[in-house]
Amino acid sequence: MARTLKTARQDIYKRLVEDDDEDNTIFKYNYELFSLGLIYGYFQGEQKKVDSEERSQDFIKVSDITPEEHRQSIELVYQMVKVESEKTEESEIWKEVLDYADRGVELIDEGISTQGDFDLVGIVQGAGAEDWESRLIDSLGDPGELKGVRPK
Amino acid sequence: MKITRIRLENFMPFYGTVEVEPYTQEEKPLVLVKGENDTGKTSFHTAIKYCLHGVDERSQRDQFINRKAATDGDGVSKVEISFVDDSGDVYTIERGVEFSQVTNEDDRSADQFFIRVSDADGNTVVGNDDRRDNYSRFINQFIPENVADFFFFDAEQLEKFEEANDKEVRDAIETVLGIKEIENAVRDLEKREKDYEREYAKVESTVAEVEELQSDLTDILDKKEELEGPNGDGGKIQETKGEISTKRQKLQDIQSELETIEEGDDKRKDLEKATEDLQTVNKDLDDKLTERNTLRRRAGPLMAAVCAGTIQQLYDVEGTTDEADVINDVLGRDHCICGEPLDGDSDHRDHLLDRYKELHSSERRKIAELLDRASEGLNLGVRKELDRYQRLQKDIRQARTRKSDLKDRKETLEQELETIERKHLSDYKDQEEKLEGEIEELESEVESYQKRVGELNNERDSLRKRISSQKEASEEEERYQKLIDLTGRCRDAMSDIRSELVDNRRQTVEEHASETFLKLTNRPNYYRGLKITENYELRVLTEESSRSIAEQRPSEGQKQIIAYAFIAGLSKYATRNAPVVVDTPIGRLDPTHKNNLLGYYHNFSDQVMILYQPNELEGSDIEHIAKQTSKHYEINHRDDDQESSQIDEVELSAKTITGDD
Repeated sequence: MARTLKTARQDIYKRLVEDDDEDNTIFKYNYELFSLGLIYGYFQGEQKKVDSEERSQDFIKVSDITPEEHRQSIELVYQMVKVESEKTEESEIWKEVLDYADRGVELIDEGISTQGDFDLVGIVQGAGAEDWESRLIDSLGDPGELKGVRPK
Repeated sequence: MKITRIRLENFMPFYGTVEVEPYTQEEKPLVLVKGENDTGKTSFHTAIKYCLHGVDERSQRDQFINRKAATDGDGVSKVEISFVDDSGDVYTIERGVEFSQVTNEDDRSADQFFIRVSDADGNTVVGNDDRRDNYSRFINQFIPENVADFFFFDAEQLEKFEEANDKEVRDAIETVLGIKEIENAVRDLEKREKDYEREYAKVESTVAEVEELQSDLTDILDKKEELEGPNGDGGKIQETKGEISTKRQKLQDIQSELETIEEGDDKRKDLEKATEDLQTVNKDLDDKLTERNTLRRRAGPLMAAVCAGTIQQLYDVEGTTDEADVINDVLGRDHCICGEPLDGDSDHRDHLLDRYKELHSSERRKIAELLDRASEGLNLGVRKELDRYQRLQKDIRQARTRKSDLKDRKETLEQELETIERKHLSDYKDQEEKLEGEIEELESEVESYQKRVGELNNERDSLRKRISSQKEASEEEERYQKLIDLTGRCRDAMSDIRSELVDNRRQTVEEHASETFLKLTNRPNYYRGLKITENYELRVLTEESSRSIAEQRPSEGQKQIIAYAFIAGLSKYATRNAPVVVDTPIGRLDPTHKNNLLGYYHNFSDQVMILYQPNELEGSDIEHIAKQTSKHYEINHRDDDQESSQIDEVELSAKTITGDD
């Protein structure tokens, strides 16, 4: 299955991703907002559960994303969702991924609306290592309790 | 004047060419020309008069054409006279007509008249095409036409001299005596005097304008002074120039102020600086924003990087995949690689089996895959990037603040400058424009003044020139006065001279005529002489009375003698020495008169041609005058043609003389 970036919040994408005519948007490409929304949604542990039909907008295939860091970010979250969901069907796992991404986009949009600007440092530092550790343990399991895994 | 040659061609009875050279020697003034009646003696006399003075009627010229020549064919009928004047110059007068052949001699007529005067070298002095006046001027130098009758006369027709109370005769007499010339001089002087008076009148009238012109000049000089001042360093022009200078200074101050405002104003510089800074800040801000936005767009990977780092910090997996493969391989053997037996329920085998299951769990596999993923491509140096982001944010904030400040500054400066321009610059500009306009007007005014001065200078120069010329005119006036005075005095003097000359000449002529008359008359004891009145009337004086000729009623011979005496008197005092040609010299004179006359002929002139008939002068008569005779000619019919005559010079010999007796 080809994993394709999609959204049920096209409206937010339209606002935050640059069109040809707009200069003051935060993101230049849809995959930039998607990667942030995805990691942020995952971090928050929040998903936007919608039917697949509601995500009609196709952006780009993951494999076609050129900047490695964005592609790797999506792959990383995909892997974590795969562990978390314990699902084996790629489409199902990808559905979970898209749910996180749309929710994360909504949260980002809300944060921008609330703060009046995009707070990169706040977003990144708001998900510090400790916060992540807690989230990862919740999502992936305690390393001491997983078979064949140990805390580092 | 002496005639040196007479040449006749087809003239009257002279067929072909006939030529005589009647030049006289000193002390021998007489030339005798003998001719019987009808031989051409009078024609010869006529030829001389015709050649010198022409004819009164043109028809006479037809008659002059020789009859035979006219019927022979086309030809020329002419008379040529060569003469030498008192200065020794020789002239030849040629006068005649061209004629065409006629069948009947009575039909002969002149086709073309001609006259020509040439000098000794053959150069034309008076040509055929010249005006008649030219010839008159020429011949009047020698024998004026109106006096010709005193020099070329028929002794039988002297009555007209007997009573000279005729204007024509009187004019002729006065011409002979040179009085006419004096009268002409008087008239010329009168005319000249009138001319001078006219010129004087003109000059006088122009002199009268001088005062007016000088008044005009004074006006012009006053106007000039008004414009230029008394010494050329004041007046309206200088005043206006001063005004211009003041305004120029003011304009210069304003322009200097404007320059200060326009070019030196700190505010403008500040504005320029602020504008430049703003541009720099804008650029810097744009760069920072671009960099920051690039970082913002990497928010997802940065956050993922923190996550990946945490994963790597949090999880680790037991053993390796190779270890599981080795355990799996060992479990198929009897002994472990460490030597421990593995058959049966060996603890060692269980231990290896548990280890194998642990290494082969799905949880370990997924975490291992996650760790692999987390370690790939997400080592982004998040802290460093966030710090960079924060610096950029700080820079952006500062740049925005700076930009805002600069914009404010710029706006403030622009407002201030606008205020300055509005309040001051525009005021100065207005003043500058106003001053420039005023200066332009004043310069135009000065220019018009200077133009006016130029015009006034021209008018002044013109007036001065006119006045100068008028002054010259006044000098001329003085000159004309002198000339008028001199001319008047000359005229008066000439008039006096004329009067005196008339009286003197008349008396002298009278004395000589009386003396001659008494020599010639056969009654010298009866007559006391002749008197010439102021009107040139001849009166005969006797012991008892003074009578006019008419009253005296003298005989025809006596009348002839009176006329001779009068002509002799005139000839004696004539201003010109001209030949005398006498036709029919003796006429009705008695022997006493004839004898007296023959003894007197040589006194008439330096050349006296006497055309006589054989019965007028006998051999003794000729002998009487032979000593005073240079040439003797005889006119005869040609032997071969009795209609034609010829003139031959004959020796003044006893034969010719006796032949006449």
